[in-house]
Amino acid sequence: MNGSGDQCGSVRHSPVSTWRRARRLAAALILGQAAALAQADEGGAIQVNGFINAGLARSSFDDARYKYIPTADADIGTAATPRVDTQAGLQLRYVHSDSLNATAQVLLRDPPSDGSPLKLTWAYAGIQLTPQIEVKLGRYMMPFFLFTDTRNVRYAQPWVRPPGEVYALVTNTEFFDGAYLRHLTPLGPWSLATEAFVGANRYETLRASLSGTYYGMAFTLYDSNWTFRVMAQNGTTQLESPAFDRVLALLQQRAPDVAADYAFAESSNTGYLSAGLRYETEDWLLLAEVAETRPGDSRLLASDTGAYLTVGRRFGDWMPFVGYAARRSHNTEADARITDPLASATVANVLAQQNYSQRTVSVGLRWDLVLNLALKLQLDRVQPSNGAKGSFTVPLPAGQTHSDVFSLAAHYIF
Amino acid sequence: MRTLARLLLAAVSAGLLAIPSLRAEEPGSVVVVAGHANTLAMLSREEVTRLYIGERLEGDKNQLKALELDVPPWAREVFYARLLGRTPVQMRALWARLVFSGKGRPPRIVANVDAALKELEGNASLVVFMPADKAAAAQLKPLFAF
Repeated sequence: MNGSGDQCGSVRHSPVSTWRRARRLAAALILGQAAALAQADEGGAIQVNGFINAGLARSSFDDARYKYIPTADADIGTAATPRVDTQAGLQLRYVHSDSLNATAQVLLRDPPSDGSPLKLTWAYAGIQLTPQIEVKLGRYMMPFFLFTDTRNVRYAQPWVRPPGEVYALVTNTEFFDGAYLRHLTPLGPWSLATEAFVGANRYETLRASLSGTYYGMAFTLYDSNWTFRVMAQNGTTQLESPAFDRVLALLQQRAPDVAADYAFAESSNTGYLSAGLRYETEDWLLLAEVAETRPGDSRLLASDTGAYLTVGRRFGDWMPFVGYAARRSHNTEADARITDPLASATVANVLAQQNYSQRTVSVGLRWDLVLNLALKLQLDRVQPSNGAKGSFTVPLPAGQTHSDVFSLAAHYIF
Repeated sequence: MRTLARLLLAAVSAGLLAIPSLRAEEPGSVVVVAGHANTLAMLSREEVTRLYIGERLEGDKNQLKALELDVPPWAREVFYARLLGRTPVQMRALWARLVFSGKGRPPRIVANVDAALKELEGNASLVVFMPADKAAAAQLKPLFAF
């Protein structure tokens, strides 16, 4: 809905009543009385936006449960579960002037590991230095891929969830604390967006804690139909893992000649490379991305390459789509230099656990029931590569080559 | 948890009631205009596009801001279809990506032509699209026309 400004999240500021008005507005939004995105900057205004994803998914097996993000807790078995595809986000934005704003965004989701379901994922001061240059200082999400910074805003995507072969590469990362700069350059009918970012983060996975400082740049060239994007990010990662500590201690004892190659506590040259393409007309949508991770110097950590292609065709309010995605994990083979049987088997097992190689064929249907609400169905046939665990808790049962993940979701924004 | 589920259901249900149909009611000619105090001669398609995807222009046009007209409802559909080849749903998805990544905001919406005209006369930096006959009746010069 596009209603009047008063209906849609912009309220004039007055010192006495701003907070009361904001509370009333939030209540109205919860009650669904305002169903539009809050609009462009008005000095002294508070803007409220949000999204709700409600989804259910099931897969073919209970023993080999599908994990959208392999390093997160949530998984999908034969019973339909809302854990992976149900989230809600609320964004509050205070506009002080054309050149200064403050934005906070909280995400309610199944936590990727232990912790609160509620997370402050964005909190920054936005400074418009010139009409073409904006700086953000604070908490934000680095734009690794086309949808990384809005990957939870599922309404804005064709899928029930972005292809895991690429988007699970960000593991449990939800935000960075640092600075972000975006510069827009008009080039005739095209625009070039140059993004530069630096920040630090820390997060937990099932078996480890990771922290680090990173920097990167992205270049996005786009017009009304086409978007071309490349991104490079680099940094230093500190990894704390009791399990890896034990492996390294074993290597130092039984294979001291190679143990140094497996040191993991601090790795430089860690990060991502990605390239993306988007083509969209009133009828057609094409999305393609390829991404690569660099785990740094440690032989104990695998690297990955992921890619996907999605093609959708709109028929009025309906958009069927098909997709193909693949992920290849590298450096997961046993190290022939390790001759000690116990050390060799231990390292081989650790590396095999990081072999997420698989491919997924998807078919789906998006139905825009009304302007701000989309219903989606999606079937993913996930096929781990030979010998790989893929995105499953354990390798598929003997004789099984694939698992079908069926998903149903409603995606709503306001 | 049950209360939260009820609230979410109520929000979605009430939102459904508040959202108009996606369908265009009629085609028409649409122009982009500014107030009488605005001295601009014209805007290019690229400039109008940038304004309506939340970007700022350079040079003496850097203060320009776009408004979106809510009534008549066909104007928006015609405008975005002709300007960007986008449906309202596609525009909503685009703005969702911009809003939640902090990269832009959709244009502010004015409820009717009279309100738009009042805003234009009060602020020379504003531009809005509207049916060509409404602009002609208000003696506003088109800066861009389809």
